Amino acid sequence: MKTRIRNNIRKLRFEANEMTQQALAERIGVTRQTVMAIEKGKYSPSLEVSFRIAAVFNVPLEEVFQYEQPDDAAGADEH
Amino acid sequence: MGLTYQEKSIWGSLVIILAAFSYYFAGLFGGSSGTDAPVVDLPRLITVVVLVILVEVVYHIIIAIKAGGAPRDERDRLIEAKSYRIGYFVLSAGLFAAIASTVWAPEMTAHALILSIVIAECGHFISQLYYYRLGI
Repeated sequence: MKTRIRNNIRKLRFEANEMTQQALAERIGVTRQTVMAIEKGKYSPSLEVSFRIAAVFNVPLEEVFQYEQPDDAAGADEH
Repeated sequence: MGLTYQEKSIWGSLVIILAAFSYYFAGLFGGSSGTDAPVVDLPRLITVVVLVILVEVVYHIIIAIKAGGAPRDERDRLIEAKSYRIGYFVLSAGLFAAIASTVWAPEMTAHALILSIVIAECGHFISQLYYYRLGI
């Protein structure tokens, strides 16, 4: 079963006075490369880092990350 | 995108270990006769290991000063853990080859063991670089 997590971090950064990746990285305690990897969907952060990101933008976690359900066909095959 | 501190650290370690053990094995096998395998040159091996440690320390101090400090985050730790797993498999394969050499070429067993460790370390470094370049 393949899952996918999307995020709005890039959009939220621009809405937050065009916060840079470096600035966000410093505030959540990771490197700029990690922020870049998260935005591109190549790396899923830990719960703690996810909550820190949401706290920086002062939004709920669901507004930062969205979980895409696996395909219905794949779900049916499992049953 | 330029190299991060972590990538510079890994590249440096990879080059240092390749250079050091190329020197070790070249010195060992370069002057040997065609039929007899040389025994492990322990003083040379210890010298190489000590030099590797010294050069690594100096190199990492220099790049750390230039980088202004770059602590590892959770992604760095994840990449390192994944790469250690790959290095473990490479080391295991090398050890099996070394065990097999006790049957077919017992005089080469010690060299096979040393080579296994070097190749495993290289595998560990190369897989880290791969993950960093992949951007995960």
